[in-house]
Amino acid sequence: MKFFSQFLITGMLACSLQLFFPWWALVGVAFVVGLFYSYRHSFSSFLAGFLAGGLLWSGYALYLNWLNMGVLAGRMGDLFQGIGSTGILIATALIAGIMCGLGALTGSLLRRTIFPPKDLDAVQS
Amino acid sequence: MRLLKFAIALLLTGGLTWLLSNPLQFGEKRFPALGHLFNPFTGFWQNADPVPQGEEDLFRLPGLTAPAEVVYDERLVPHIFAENLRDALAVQGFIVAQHRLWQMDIMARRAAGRLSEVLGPATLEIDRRQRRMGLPYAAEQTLATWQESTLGMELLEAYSDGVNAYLRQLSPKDYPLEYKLMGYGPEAWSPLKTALVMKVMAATLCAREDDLEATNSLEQLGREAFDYLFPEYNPKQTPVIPAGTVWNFGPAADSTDQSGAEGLSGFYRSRPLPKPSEFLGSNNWALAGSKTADGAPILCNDPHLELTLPAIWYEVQLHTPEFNAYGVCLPGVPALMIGFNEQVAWGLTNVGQDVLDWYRLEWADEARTAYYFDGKEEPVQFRAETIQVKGARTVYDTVRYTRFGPIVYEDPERPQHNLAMRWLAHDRPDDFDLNAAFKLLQAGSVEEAIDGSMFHWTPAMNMALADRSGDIALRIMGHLPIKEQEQGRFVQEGAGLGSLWEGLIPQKEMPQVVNPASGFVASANQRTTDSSYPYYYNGHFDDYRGRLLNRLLSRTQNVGVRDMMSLQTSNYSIQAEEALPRMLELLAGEELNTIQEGLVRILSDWDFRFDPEQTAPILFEEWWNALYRNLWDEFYGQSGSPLILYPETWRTVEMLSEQPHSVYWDDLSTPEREDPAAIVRRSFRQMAKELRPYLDKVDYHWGQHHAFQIRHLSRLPAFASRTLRPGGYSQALNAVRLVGSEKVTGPSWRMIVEMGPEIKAYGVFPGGQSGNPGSPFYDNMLDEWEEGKYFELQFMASPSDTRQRVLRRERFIK
Repeated sequence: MKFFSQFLITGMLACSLQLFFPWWALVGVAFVVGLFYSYRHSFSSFLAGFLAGGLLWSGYALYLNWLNMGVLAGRMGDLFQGIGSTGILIATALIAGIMCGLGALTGSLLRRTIFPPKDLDAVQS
Repeated sequence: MRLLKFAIALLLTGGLTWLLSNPLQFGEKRFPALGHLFNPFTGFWQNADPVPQGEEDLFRLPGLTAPAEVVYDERLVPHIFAENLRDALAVQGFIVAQHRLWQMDIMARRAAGRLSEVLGPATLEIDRRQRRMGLPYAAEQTLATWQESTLGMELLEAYSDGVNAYLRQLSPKDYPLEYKLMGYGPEAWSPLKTALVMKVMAATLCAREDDLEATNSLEQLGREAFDYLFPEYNPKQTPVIPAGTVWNFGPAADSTDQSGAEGLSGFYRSRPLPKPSEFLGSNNWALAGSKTADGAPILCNDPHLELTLPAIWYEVQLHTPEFNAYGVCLPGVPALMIGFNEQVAWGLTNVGQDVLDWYRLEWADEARTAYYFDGKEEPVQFRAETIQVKGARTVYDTVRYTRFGPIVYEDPERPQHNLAMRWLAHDRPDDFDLNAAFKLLQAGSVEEAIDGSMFHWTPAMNMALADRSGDIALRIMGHLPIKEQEQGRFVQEGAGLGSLWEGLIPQKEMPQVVNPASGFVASANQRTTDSSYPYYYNGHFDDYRGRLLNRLLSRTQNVGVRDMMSLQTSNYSIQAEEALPRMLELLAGEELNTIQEGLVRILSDWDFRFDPEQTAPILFEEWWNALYRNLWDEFYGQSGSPLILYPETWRTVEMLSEQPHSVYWDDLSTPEREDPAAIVRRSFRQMAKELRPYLDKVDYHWGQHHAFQIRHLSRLPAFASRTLRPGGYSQALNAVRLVGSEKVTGPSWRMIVEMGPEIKAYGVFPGGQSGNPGSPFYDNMLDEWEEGKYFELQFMASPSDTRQRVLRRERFIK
């Protein structure tokens, strides 16, 4: 539940802020949301951010790609060493996923630095 | 520990964010900021143009006098309906920018020598050359004339306003893809930029000359051999204006005087400017009703240019209550270049006369501030050029302008002398030259079109015309200099008034032919006239397409649009027709192996067509090239003299049939003396050896041998077309030609218009209406172009006159 809420909130906030701010708003959003979440393994926070960012970018890109009948993605795939349109979609997902995941991880880690896990567990339970 | 983990994560996140937000350079490779580029909200994904589904849009275009409407047909051709010419041009500016913004911007930037400003030091030399060549200067001269015409400027500014209105409502996420990749943005348009784009056209079409090569060759060979190898007139040629035309004016006062045309001796090792491509040309013709099946005149035109993507041409219809016209325009230039209206159709080909001459000046002082002219010191004008360079220091260059034109190069070997460039495109037009384009839009007859065309300045064009009343005509449109005999064929002494051009040929003395008895007019970049024309001219002329056109059109009767299509896409070559039988004749009797006999059979059965599914064209081309090199071995491999003339193809063919005893047949590298048969046989064996690896391949024909891609203006391979195999040959009407490994020239727009009671028009160009490599309309006409098919052009009478699915409608209000 915790994981899912971080994923959802990160994704929705990122989506709305992306309409007005440059791409790195994604990282900022993931970081700020990450501040509110702490897991036994911080990797979970990374994963929540990764999925939120990756799905947001690739989902929107897929929609644009569909309207365009894949013409642009094919060209861009050729431009980037022939990775193809699937490669371009994966690259889009990875850039957003990794950066969003890193943002979320950094947020979570900062929280753990300020509130060590023991206290946190007490608060959470 | 926790702090450390956090610190590492923070550094990693921050570092990667920074890396992805900035353009990066690895050695030669430059990468745009990947985060921005891949962000689907603002980056390249935003350029994934959807296929329009009949949407309607409303735009504001300040300055419109009345609302206007644009209807896009199935091929995304805009049909503009406006209240008057001014409004139509404003909307045209908006629409062209919407589809071709980066293309028009980069063309103007390149002409202005301002590429480095956005692309960095890599393009510095191109920028310097454009400025040395005086392209920005030439554009400013043209603009100065334009500014004297209130009405003209109003129209040009309307077009600019249209472009700029589009730019204003454009946010960075909507910038064309190329901007995002190269990391810069568009700039406001202005009439100066329109002038710059027109100067690009002039530089492409009328900046070709061989002055230095001819001077070197004359020096090397002597007059007699020079005239033998490089005759000015091809006796078999049929000129643009039919031979035997009577000129009702004498030669200009003293054009027989040769005082100004003294060729200069001296040897030149390098050219001041690189040469424009040799293989640019075009075909146009008009048939009178007496020759057509329907009794209606037909006009055809296919300009051959370097093929690039985005396509050179943009198709558009302009409709107002006063006129209705359809055709193609150059992105950045208002109105139409080639097209038709409800009364007249017009098509253009390049004239090819030489209007760029080099004059040798003698400096009066070491600092080169003055040169001797008629014995007196005449000061030069200095023009300061400031080239801004992205990521590097600004570069300053001072160009000296003389009475002749700019000094375009430095020559440390000869500090006392320089060559000055005399180019007609530098001159201020005497009137508002774009008026020709505006008058053509509205012309009601062949006669009115001719009157309007007299405004045109440069490059000079062979303009073919046909109107609905049944008149046809061909006229040289533009201005040309009065030259003395051989003036401008060689480098000349620029010592005084006597060496200047004497002026311009009066418009009433420009060659033209109206309604000839033959029932047709045609041009294909061959010589303008026969030698009886009172004015001297030299230049670059085609020797085969014009002859073929004149031969076929003189025989033709009861033809229709279909016949014209097969003519425009014909791969037949007179060069092969004349050379090959003679070559085979000379080969006969030679002992050949089975494979070589097979090659002879293929060649003997050939119909001289460079069709994609034939093998013979590969054999012929290679055999011919070997023959050319073996015959003219005298011209190859000489040390230190790359700048010489090489005999023309037609002269080489003539050598085969008419000059069997010439000393040139001898191969200097062998002890024996060769005759034509020996050279032809040696060349054949070389060809057979050379082509061995190819001929074993299954399914390898001219199409495969002659395959190419059309490249993007930026030369990014990812944005090039797929591989095309259309056939064609530089000497065939379908003049598709590979120049080197990457460049290709050929028919950039094929148009056929039947001027009957109902106008029927057909066209196709190698590309698409959109300049966006990510649009389905970027190269959607390639298949049809390759196969020689055409689209019926939708010449609409009103916004509701839609015979096709409407892709999109746009309304414009003030």
